[in-house]
Amino acid sequence: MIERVYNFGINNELSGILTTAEPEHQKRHAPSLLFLNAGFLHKTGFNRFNTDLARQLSVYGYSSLRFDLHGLGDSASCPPSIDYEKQAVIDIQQAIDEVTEKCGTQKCIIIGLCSGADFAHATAMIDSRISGLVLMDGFAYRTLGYYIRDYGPGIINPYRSIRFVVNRIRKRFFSAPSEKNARRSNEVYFRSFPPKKQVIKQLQELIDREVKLFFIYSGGIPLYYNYADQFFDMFRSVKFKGMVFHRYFKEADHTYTIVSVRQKLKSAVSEWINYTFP
Amino acid sequence: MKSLQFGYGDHKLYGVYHFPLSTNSKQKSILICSSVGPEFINTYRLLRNLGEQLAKSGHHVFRFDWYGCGDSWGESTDISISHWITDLRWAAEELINLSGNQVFSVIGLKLGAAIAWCSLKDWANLSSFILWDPIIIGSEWMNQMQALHSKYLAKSPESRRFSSDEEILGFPLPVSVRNEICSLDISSLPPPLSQKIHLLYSGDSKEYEAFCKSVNFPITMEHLDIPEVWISSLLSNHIVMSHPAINSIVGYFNRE
Repeated sequence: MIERVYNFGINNELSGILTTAEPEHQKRHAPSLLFLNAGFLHKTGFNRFNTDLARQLSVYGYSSLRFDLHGLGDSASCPPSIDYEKQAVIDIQQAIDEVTEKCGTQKCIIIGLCSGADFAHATAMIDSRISGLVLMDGFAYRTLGYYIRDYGPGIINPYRSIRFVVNRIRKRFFSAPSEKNARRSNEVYFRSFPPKKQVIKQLQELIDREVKLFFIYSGGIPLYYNYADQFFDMFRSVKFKGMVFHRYFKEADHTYTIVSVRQKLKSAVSEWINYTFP
Repeated sequence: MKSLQFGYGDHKLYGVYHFPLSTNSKQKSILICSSVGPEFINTYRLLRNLGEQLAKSGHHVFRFDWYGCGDSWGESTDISISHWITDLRWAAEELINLSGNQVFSVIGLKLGAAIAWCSLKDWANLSSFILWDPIIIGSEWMNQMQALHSKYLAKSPESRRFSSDEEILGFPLPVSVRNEICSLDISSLPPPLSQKIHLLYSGDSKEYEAFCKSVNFPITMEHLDIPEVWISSLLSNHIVMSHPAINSIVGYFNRE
């Protein structure tokens, strides 16, 4: 494995690390990989996931760039004149320029968790160099199956029903404002998603462009996602054409805190990349 | 701000150099030593902002990732305090090369402060040493982290089945490192050959007062009037930010 640390982009404002296999092991025709930040975390990723996976994939011959978007990690602050989401897409496109040029590849796979998945999706919509996406805890929409699993146990079990009603009354009338704020501040993964219809249309566009998609959901986002097949229920109208894979790690939290569970995630992503882009 | 790699052979480390962004007649070279594990991740942004503010005040600043941590080389399981003691000396040499100044200062946060205390004991060109909520007795910190890990597992029954004894809050913790940390007690070690030692604390002062009395060197103490954020941030996955702490440290170097 060879790792090179450097700054790139306009005025060298972006901080990145290029990981490549030893020349004799490099897969010449495989796409290169790009790792994105998750939320406010820097380029090493949640619990060092990006660093570990980049090195693991280099063993299989894949080259990758992990980098910090403007305003995160060791990259420069975000220019105040530009909307943050727009800047993120510009940064990702600069990173694609960089990784494809340095690795001599034409195509690129983007790997992102949470906001990283959102930015990966947004960039794929406008950049034809992206041939694959690994989207972890990306867009999610509640379905009938979700509500049944969320409320069902309470409806069936009378004790839980009573406890649910009592808790609702207590929260509504007896919680101090500071407690309510504290609860809200604990909901760190509360996100708003674009309209489902728009996402369905965009997914179909990506699939029709033959972009390979790997959707991974964790058990750490129970506000949006709570069963394995929810993905297929959410996007029932999309014609997958064999381009879409999906995994649900119920045992994982949002940042895959448990080491062995994170190892399963790394294996799943490695296997998908090896299988899809041999 | 420039990202770079330093070290030797298979022991390469990731570092970031904040070059001075203004002129300062009292210009210093400052090495920032982070904590490890979940504290390393959650305080990364805090230390980056600290480096940036010190650079704006005209100082040379160097941050780095310990071996087996962040973007430095090494598996997350291939860690040891003795490795990290060497890392710090290499990082100090890198800062000296980058800044051209032979004399430097060190800021150590939590376990980073303890490692620096162990590493710098015979380093003659240390001008000042800031200990920021330092870990004095390793076993106490280990117990605190273990309690947090247990609390996390109690809240996450699905995850509990997959957890092993050799991990803590998202990071592997081999028995050998656990033992090294548990045997750490910096109050039993001689202080570094620093001209000044300053201790910043945000929690209870009693432990630190006892430590300062036990050390054969005049240590100045300063209370940071901020909530003790370390513990709550680890369980909620919130990153730590503290402008008062940054202002306090920047003020210290500008006054010095």
